[in-house]
Amino acid sequence: MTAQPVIEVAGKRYTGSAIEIRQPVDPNAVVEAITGSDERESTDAVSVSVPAPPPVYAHIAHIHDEMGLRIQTALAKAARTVGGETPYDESLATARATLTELTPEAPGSERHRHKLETKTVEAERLKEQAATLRGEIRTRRKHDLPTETAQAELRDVLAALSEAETSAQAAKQQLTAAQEAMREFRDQQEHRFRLEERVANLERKARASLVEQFTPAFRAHVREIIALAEREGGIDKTVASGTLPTAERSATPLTAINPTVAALALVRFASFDTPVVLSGSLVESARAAAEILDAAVIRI
Amino acid sequence: MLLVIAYSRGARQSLRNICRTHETSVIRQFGRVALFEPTGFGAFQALRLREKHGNAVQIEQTRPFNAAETVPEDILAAATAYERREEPALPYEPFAERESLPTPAEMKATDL
Repeated sequence: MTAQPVIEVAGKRYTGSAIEIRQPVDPNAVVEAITGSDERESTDAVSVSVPAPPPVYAHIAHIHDEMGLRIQTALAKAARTVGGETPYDESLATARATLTELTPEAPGSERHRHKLETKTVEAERLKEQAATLRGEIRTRRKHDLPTETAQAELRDVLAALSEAETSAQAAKQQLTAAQEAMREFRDQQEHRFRLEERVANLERKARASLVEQFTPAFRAHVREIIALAEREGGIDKTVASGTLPTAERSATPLTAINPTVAALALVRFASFDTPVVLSGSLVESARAAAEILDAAVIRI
Repeated sequence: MLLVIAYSRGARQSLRNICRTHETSVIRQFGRVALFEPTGFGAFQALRLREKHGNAVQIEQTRPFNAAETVPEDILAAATAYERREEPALPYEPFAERESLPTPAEMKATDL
């Protein structure tokens, strides 16, 4: 036995699987409270305690007469709530697991590049300085002038040059290693991308398979919802208006089904305990809706 | 030019969007790889992608390839000579030996 849904709006508490909220409240705020997607401070003071929503919930959380619906995607997700399986599930699980493990980390190469450039420039400068000093020493010798100071200076410059060259060499090696690591990283990313493609491809196939398997069951629920609306059996009559005569309905492409009708049919078809939010005029009462849809509902 | 490579589905989608919206700044697009024009605007678009998708976007700057300037003469000569050989079935290695041209190993060890 699952816990009864509890919802509090501005201090007023509602419980049960057929909740009527008569005070003004934004249905989206209720949905956000249920899905936990509300990252703002809950100024509306809506708080809920309901069973966790399944993936299909996002598509049919709030049913109203101007809603949009990606019927095939939602149907595939709804099928999962009634135990729908496909031949692709195993490969999909494996591919997804591999993908989660695969988080390549980028190596940093800029530091080594910068060091190499600095040290190379420094070495060039010292080389020039050494050449100048050697010239100076030669000139002084020619004129029999003392060369000690210049020679001491040259020794210092050559020592610094040797140091700069060693650092440049080390930086070059590090840079090469970093560049190789970067190439390795790109290879891993490439691998990851291919895996992402594979997952997406398997998801498409699984979705198509679920849609194909469960379309007959879904259509039966669609027919039932339209029939109920037509004979005013708890669903607003306008919902069925504009839908095709029964004979043509089985030929209607899924995507051409009225989104509101489809959403109601999906709730009736799917199996989950999270309450869906219905706009007031759509159904006669929360109780009637809960019974028709065999689901927990919140009517606002 | 700026070579931009996308490594995730999200990055590929953004790259496609940019290529569609800024056709004149995109020199070429192949799948999830594109060449952006070497202008501030090209760089702006490339950097936007990197900002949004981080490491899933690789940006490299290309240079015009001037073979005479960057490739050692013997390698230039080898390419010409081998493509003009009279024995189409002759592999490169024996050909190089006969004509005293650089071996693949030597060329691999040569940095441009």
